Amino acid sequence: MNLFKIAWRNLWRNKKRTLITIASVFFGVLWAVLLKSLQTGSFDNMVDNMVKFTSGYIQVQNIDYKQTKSLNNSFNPDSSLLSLLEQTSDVLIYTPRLESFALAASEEQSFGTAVFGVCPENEEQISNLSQWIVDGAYLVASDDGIIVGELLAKNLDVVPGDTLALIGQGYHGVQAAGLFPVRGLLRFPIPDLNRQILYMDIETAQNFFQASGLVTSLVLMVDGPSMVEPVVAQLKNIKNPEIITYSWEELQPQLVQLIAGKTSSGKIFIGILFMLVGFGILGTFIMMVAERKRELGIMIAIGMQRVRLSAILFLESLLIGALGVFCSYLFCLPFVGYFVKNPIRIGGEMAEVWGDMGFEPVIMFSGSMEVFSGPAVTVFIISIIISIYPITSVIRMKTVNALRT
Amino acid sequence: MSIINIKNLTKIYDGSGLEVVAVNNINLEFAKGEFAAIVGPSGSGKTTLLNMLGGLDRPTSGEVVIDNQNIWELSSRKLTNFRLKNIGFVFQSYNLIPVLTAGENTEFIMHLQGRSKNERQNRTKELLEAVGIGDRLKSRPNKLSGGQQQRVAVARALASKPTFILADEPTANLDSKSTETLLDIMETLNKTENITFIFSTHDARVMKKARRVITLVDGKVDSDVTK
Ligand SMILES: Nc1ncnc2c1ncn2[C@@H]1O[C@H](COP(=O)(O)OP(=O)(O)OP(=O)(O)O)[C@@H](O)[C@H]1O
Ligand SMILES: [Mg+2]
Repeated sequence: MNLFKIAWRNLWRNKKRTLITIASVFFGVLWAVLLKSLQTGSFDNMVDNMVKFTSGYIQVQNIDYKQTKSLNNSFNPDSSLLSLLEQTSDVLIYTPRLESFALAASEEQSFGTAVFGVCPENEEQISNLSQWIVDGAYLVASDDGIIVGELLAKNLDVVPGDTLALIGQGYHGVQAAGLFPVRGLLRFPIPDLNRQILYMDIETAQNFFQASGLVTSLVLMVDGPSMVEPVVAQLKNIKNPEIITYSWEELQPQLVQLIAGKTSSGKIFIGILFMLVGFGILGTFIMMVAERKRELGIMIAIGMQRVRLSAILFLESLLIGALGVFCSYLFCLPFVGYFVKNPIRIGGEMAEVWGDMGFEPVIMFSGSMEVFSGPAVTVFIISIIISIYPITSVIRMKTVNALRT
Repeated sequence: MSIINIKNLTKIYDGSGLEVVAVNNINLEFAKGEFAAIVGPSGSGKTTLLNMLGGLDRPTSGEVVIDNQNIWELSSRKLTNFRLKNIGFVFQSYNLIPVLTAGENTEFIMHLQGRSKNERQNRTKELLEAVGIGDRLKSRPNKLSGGQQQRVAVARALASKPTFILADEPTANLDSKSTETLLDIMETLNKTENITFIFSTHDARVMKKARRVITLVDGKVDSDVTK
């Protein structure tokens, strides 16, 4: 007959009330886990997308390029820089990019477009670019053709095999113009990109923009987000004062801000949720202590130390929390597990709205440890805080008064 | 030889400015093996006296000396331990822990005393049989009659092998038959095992059984008669 047994039986004296209290914990944890899973899942995906399509995890740039994204702020990756990158073992692979703008014209139409000069092989390894090809073929090394966003192609009314004229401003303001056969069409999950992007081989781009040997950035691939910081730290001390290394967070401050904002509003929501849950449990304990006053008094009278009696009440509080969390997990684990494997693709108009806002129209869930551990820890802390009430009641209880009830 | 010595014991309640002298300068001694009743009209101070004697209610002044220990000099923690070791309690009603069976209620106090499982179980059986409900070992209190509950309470009070047992109106909520049974059990335990009982009562039949009757009036000892 240990304390645990007494606590457990006390819990079931008023089954209905205990079940309602456990249910409140259950729903609290449920919402918290789902929200957190959803947020983490979509943020991870957003970061993943942004990092993949645009910045990469790490970029080496000319020191002025971030401020003014112009070809004039490009740089020539010299052999000492390249050999440093080769020697940095945490850099899995790197690829040069030359980014600028041009006017793309077909016989009928012309549209402004972002031009990405890339190294087809390395780019493929970093961003898996070819997976988005829906028509035609991906670039080959030293290709003199281009691959074009699907919507841009549609607007220009071109298909693979047709030729596009590009007109733009080259390095130091020289006139840049050329004809480029369309090799393939790209369909990114973010429609904005499809409307205004085209890729060509980097040498082709350098020739077009008359920027021989120049790049606007070197994109570095590392083994996951956790490796970003150490590698950036290593590369911060590049000797060349013209060159600087950025992490994706520095390159995408809006994204970082967006995530921070959403995360904190999520935290407020979850905070309010758990406050309600906490007051629910507290209410239960206030009633329980009132109902059990006489028997608590008797236990003290016959010789039970108040500390031991408190332990029973502490256990009861922990048990309510633990049961709520446990039931929640029984439900959440398979649920979240399913949606981690099968993200919800959004179709129809909703997809367009999301796409226009720059989001991939997909609801992703995360099954990471912290999604589950966070709410459990919160409930544990709440249980401990709540148990202060019955414990202080017991410690302060006037035995005689309790017995007279 | 006295085991309990009450000296100049006084309790004044000071609720809302109005002073109530519940127990007024009482001196009493109890010897091992007594079977003593404390009687008196309602409000005469019986419960207050027993609570001070049992280490539950702090006196305003005076001493309660049990086995040469002035119990009100002890810290709250030590006093609780003192009660556990030396005093058995039987209250008027709802004595038992509702979530524990008759057997577990009896065992509970030995558990607090840290006795071995074997000893606990043997003694529990013995005691419940002694109070005539050996067959209800596994029943929860709410499945027992009022009289049976009081008998379990007596068994529990005995379980700790206390110096004496305090019972505040143990029969007040019982019918006459249960009252008689409970008293017979207490009397038998007193006679055969020399257990000291101090109990309060309103009931004339209970008084008759007592060998010593202390009558309180207005918080003072009005008479103290040993038969
Ligand atoms: N907590 C308290 N605060 C104020 N006065 C109290 C308190 N407890 C008891 N009293 C008063 O002390 C006096 C003695 O009360 P006590 O309960 O000891 O009497 P009693 O003899 O046990 O009565 P009864 O036969 O009704 O049980 C009464 O006048 C009572 O009103
Ligand atoms: Mg009384």
